[in-house]
Amino acid sequence: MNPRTSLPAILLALLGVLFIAFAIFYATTDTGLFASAVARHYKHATVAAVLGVLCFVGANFARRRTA
Amino acid sequence: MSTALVIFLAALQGSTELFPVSSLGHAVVVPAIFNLGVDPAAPSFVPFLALLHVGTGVALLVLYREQWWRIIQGFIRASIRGRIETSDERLAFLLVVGTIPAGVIGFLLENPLKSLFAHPRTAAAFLVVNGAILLAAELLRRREERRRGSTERAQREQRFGTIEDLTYTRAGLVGLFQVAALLPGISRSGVTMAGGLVAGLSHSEAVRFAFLLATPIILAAGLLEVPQLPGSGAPLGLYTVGAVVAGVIAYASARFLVRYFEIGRLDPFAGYCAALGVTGLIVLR
Repeated sequence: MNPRTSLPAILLALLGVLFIAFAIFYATTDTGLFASAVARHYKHATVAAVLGVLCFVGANFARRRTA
Repeated sequence: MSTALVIFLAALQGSTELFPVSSLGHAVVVPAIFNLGVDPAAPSFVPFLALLHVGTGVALLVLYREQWWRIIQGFIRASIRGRIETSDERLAFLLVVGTIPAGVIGFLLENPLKSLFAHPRTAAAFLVVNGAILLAAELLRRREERRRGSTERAQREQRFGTIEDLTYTRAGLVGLFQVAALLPGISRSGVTMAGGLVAGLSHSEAVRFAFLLATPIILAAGLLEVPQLPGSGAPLGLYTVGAVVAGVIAYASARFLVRYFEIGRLDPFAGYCAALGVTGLIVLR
């Protein structure tokens, strides 16, 4: 493991990947997952993408830095 | 809805969105009290309100345009660097922390919250609650002022903090207050101002933080709802005119409030909300 990388950073990065995957899923697939009807949910996709980006930003902040 | 009604609702929304009196509460309660023939349960009603919110959000962006430009730059710089170094960068992340609670909860509870729009009596009851929240925040502030021993207005405000003094925990606390504003009748600017006062901000800083915090949520809520408008058969041109009217009036309201809270308090708005809420509860039987 890179000594500059901490566990919270890895977890946040993984969460970010998950959210981005959800964003792509909602934008490209008709689904009723966490939604009121079976359709393409662009609002869900947008929110998931924003949360994904925020997770990546958080991961960048959580990286362990050498002096 | 007729042209006159659309313009009336736009003016009502623009003037009440930034005043701490709940624009959603007014949009649901006032037409019901005066029997204006507005159906809050209609499919195009929420997207229409969302479009008016876009107008209001743009007004706030214009009012704080220089600050927003620095905040956006600060967010990008700090995100890439992975470290916060300037006050603008810190403010950007205070706003992110303050926005997350209402953003996530609003998204998760969207459908149950929309169903509340169809119940003017519920909105009227929440208007009374809103008045109580504003009054409670001012009572706590007065107690704190007495504790700090400040008497004159100018001195009094100087003894309280600025946004730059806020901790992330306190910004999150103000963000949690904003969650309450998802209910029709609870004012977003009102509860975030109340939260700001509880977090130790001066009145003028509480209103600045409330307006900055409101901008991304108002714009996001609006922009995410607007795509539903074309399919709802709503008159888009007329609604767009309504959004412009709401924006212009919101801009004037914001400028007024920024000046008002240099010396003013939330008390008058608390009394107004309680009176309108009680009127609504009596009339809308």
